[in-house]
This record gives sequence, structure tokens and C-alpha cells, in this order.
Amino acid sequence: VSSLNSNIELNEQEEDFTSQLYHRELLPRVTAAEVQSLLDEGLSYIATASISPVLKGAIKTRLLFRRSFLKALEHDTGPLSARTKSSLLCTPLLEGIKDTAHLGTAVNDCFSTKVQRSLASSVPPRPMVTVKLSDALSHFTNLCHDAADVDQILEIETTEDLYTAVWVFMSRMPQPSVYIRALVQSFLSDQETGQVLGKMSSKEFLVSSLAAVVLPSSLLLNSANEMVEAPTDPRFQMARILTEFDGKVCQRYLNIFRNACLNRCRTRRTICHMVLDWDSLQADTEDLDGALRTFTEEQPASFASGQPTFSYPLSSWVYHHKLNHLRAIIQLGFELTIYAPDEFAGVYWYLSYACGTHLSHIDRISFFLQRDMQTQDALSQESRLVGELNSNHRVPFQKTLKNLFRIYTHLKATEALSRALHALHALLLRLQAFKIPPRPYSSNSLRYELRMRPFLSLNVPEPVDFETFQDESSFAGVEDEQVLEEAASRVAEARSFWDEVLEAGWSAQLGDTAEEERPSKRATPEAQKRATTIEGEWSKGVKNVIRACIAASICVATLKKRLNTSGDLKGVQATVPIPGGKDCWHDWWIVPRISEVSS
Amino acid sequence: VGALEVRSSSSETIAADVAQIMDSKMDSGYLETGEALDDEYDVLRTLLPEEMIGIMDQVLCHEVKSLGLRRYSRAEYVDCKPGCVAYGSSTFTNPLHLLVH
Repeated sequence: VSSLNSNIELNEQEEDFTSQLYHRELLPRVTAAEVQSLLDEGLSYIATASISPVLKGAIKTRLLFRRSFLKALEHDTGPLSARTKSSLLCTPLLEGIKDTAHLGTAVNDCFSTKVQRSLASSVPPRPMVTVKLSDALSHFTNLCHDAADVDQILEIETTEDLYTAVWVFMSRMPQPSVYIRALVQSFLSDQETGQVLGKMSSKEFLVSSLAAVVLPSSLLLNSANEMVEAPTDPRFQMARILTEFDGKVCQRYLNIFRNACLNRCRTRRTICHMVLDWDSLQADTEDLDGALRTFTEEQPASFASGQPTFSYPLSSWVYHHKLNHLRAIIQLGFELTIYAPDEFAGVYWYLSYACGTHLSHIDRISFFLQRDMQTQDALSQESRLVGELNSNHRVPFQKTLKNLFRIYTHLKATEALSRALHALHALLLRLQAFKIPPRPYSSNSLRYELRMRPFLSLNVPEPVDFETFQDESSFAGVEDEQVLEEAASRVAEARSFWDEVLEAGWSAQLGDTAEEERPSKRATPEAQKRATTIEGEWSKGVKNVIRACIAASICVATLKKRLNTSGDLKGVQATVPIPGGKDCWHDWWIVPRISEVSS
Repeated sequence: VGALEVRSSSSETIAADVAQIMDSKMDSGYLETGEALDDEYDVLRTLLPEEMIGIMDQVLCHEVKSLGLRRYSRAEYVDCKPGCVAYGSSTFTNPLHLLVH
């Protein structure tokens, strides 16, 4: 009856996914087709067996479920190009199993843990874990729904959207099961063909990201360069540089996406390692940028009235991603409740610092893009003089600038809210509104070192020393009223920026396609039935951040009222919600709640 | 009886290992008095239809565990018992957090 699906061992290479099989193979010589025919045999036997129709129906439902479940798993191992939309055929059958579960009698002696004595293992025997059938069925139902949603990820066209979608999908609570996460991971980079999402090579994937962030319509990314054979030709040299960059960066870039498929704790831990790796990568790619300049003959320009400098496109792209990692480390830290309430002020300060650095980096990239666009303008003016008309050169630049503006808005919103919460937490800390647990073996500087460990050894952004951190994060020398005022203005700012983020939508492509062509508008009936979509979940997430903004402004208002009525804020007590709890609007934004005002 | 591996020559470790032999929780080779080495379950035995449904459902339950279909909610990552502060390095209850770099 049981069809052990060895298919499920698919791509379980990550430590996180490996189920411990102790070198046992699960029916490696039995093909899915054989199991299917056995199931069919069972079905036809049941059809003629002389047992009560109710029991007959129950057994039939179970066999049918096995058949369609096995088919779905088999489908997942097939090539992506041959993949059709997976359906939710299994779900109604699961309902049928639930309805007839009371008919069965458990036969406990056909399950045994004795196989463990013949395993190549030195760990103590594990007891049998029993899961309730209702729980098991809901796990299977979730699996089917998550599997159907994987198709949404496959439909995504651009690297930026893919990044958002993978994060949204993996941030679901509860997180998609290991099987689904392994499946997404396998689609992100196919083991055999090396293709990403079954539609492009990993190099194309990398190049499209470069074009979206730093290099629209650059000669460097022209794939025709590879056809040039003369080593003296700059195009030949550019192809060489791009190949070298691809070799250094490509796998690391794909790993960003693959890493998001791990469980949340491991995702954060891996990003902590990744950020160091990307730091040295940035230094390496700066050399490549230097080599590239000899062929592009780029002129230096003075950005933000500083010394004339070059655009450094490749290392800028690396730095952009490194700064993304910094933010992810901090925000996942909140989600995983790594920080204590009295540390929030400092961590939100660092978050706003990282955002500020990122904002000026995006500014720098945009500055050089605009300069390049103007150079192109001048060139096309010249070519127009000789009779050629070319006004399309601005399109790729505008697309990339638009993409950068999306990133900019999101960063602005993150920065404003983190500054608001920094001010709020710093003020409450000053008022001793939280209970700080006794820490006999800890000091502020040791804790600072611990929290900043992923960032302290980076070249850029330059590490912040403890004294600066303490002064900045505690608003040293600033009056309570001013801190509160800062919180109030930042909250208002954050609210309007997050509204803008929501308005702009989850995907950069939404703005480009006409209203009636949007995927959500032409949803098939099946898709409409689906309770979750990436778009829906993304909006829900942003709306929750906006709720956190509102909660923060309420908190500010309460404190202001108190200040106005009694002249000071002494005796204010506050509580902080735990991420995942009902009173926490968003896991990344911990808004304190003024619980009592004792005078 | 015991199939435990003795890995260290330290007398304390050996003593600890020896203490685990003959303990059914720690020693996979241990048999209760009268317990057979192999299972005596006849896979060809006749089953009632009800038993068949029961077995099929039990398999489903075991699969959730063994195929990693379980989805973890945050409550399982973090011990959020009331009164227990789950934050910080001093009081936390979940070793997973210790893995943070």
C-alpha cells in the first residue's frame, strides 16, 4: 500500500535538508510507473471486492490520493521546460481522507523502530514520533498549496522581482516545508543544465541583474563580444573581463537566492558568513573595474562635490548586494528574537546607518548612470547629424533608473522607520521603561561586539567604534523632548514612504504593463481560488509595516500627551511585543507599547 | 549486547558509555527479556478493510515526519513560554540561536 517516494530525495544537498537515511536507499530499483500500476491494480481489485460501499469508498480515496500525489512528485523531478501548471488535485482527496478517518483501526504492530539496530549509526535509538492524522492532513494540504504557489515563482522574469518573490515566499509563516524549499532551490539552479528557472543560463541571469542595477546598455554586457577573436580588440578584452567576473560572482549571486530557501535561522547564519565573502569580493571586483576602464576609456567625474572618481560599475553592484545582506542580517535578527528589548535602540540605529550608507551608494550609481546617459545623448546627437536617427538609447537607462528609484524608496522607508523606532526605544531606555535582566557576565561593550560581529571586520561600510555607537544610539546630549520630536517626525516620514512603497507595487514590471494585462487581472479561475499569491502576501507585509508605523505614532502621541500634562516622562512603563505574536504588527518592526503611566 | 562505540580512552567517558549499555533509551541493541531480535509481523496476513484504512492513515502520519513535510512555526524555533525571556544570550532556550555567527 505504501509507496515510498524516493523521488523526494531531490536536491537535498544542503545540510538543512538532508534527512538522515544512514546509507539506506529507499526502493531505488522501483520506478514510479511500477508503483502506479500496483495502485491501479489495487483500485480495480477494490472495485470488485465484496466489502461495504462506505469502506470501499474510503480505500478508493486513499489509493487515488496516492496515485495523484506520486504523480505530482514525479512531475517535480521532470525537466522544467516540460512542466505544466501543477494542479491541486490532491486537496479534495485529502478532504475525503479526513471525512473517512474514523472508519479505520490502527494496526500498531506493523510499524516498528527495530530497523534502527541495523543502521550504520552510533546515535541512540529514536523513539517513534506520532503525528495526529488531522495534523498530518493539514501538512499535506499546505504542501499542495505551497507546491501550486511555486509556479508563481517560475513565472517571474527579472532578477529583482525574483529576489522579492523568493523572500516573500520563504517568509511565509509557517515556512514552506523542506520539500518545497528544496524544490524551489533546485529550480533556481538546475544541477544538470545549470539553468536558472529553466529559462536562462546563470551567466545571462547575472548579466540581467548587472543591467538592472548598474550597467544598462553597456558594451561590456554585449554578448556579441564573445564572437570577437582578436586579442587586441577591446571587445575581446571586455568579454574576458566579464567571464572573469562571472566566474567569481555567479555562484555567489545564485547562492543569495538559494540561501533564502533554508530555514530562517540558517538563512541568517549563512548571510553572516556571506557578508564577509562579499566584502573581499568587492575588493576583487574593484580590480576588474580598473582593468575595464582601460577599454571603456571612462572619464572621471566628481560625485557629491568630492574628488573626481570613476563609476566602478562591477564593484558597485557587489556593494549594493553586500548592503542588502547587512539589512537582512539585522532584520532577520529581529524576526528570530535575537536582540533583547534594551538592545533595540542600538540595533535600529545601526539599521538606519546601514540604510543611509546604502542610500548614498544608490545615489552614486544613479549619478554615474545619468552622466552616461548624457554622454549617449551627445553621441546620438552626432549620429543624427550624419543622418541616423536613434532615440531609443534612453530606454534602458530609464528602466534601470526607475529600478534604482524603487530600491531608493524602499530604503528611504526602511531608514525612516528604523530612525523612528531608534528614537522611541532610546527614549524609553533612558526612562528605564523596560526591565533589564541582570547580566553579571556581560557589559555593554561586550554585547556590542557580539551583535556587531558580522560587521566589525568589513572594509566598507567602515565599522563603527563602540563609543560612537553608544553616543549615537543613546542620543547623548539630546533632551528627551527633542528625541520625542525626532521620533514623531520620522514616524510621519516613514508612513508616507511606506505608502509610496505600497503604491509602487511588488514588481517593477507592474508599472510597465498596461492595467488590463497585469497577471492578477487575468487570473484563471484556478488561480483565483488560491488563497495566497506572491503579490497578495507582499502587500499584506507592507500593510503590516504601515500598521507598525501607526502603532509607533500612537506610542509617540501617548508620550507627548504625558509630557504635556505632567511636564516630564518619569515613571513611564513599556512592553515590547514578541515577533510572531498577535500584538506585533511586523516581525521586523518591534513597536513598544506604553503599558502604564505611574506617577 | 551493546552496540555502542567506545571512542575515548578517558576512564570517565568509558564509564559514561558503559552506563548507557543495557539502557533501552540509549542502546539500540538492547532487548527486553523475551524480546525477539526481529519483528514477527507477517506482511502477507489478511487484513480487515478497517485495518487497511487504519494502516494507510498511519503511513500518512509517519510520512509527515520522515519526508520533512512539517512546517515549523516560529513558536517552535523560539521558546516563548510566559515569564521566560527568550531574548539575548543569557536566557535563551533554543540552541539554534547560538549558531548565529
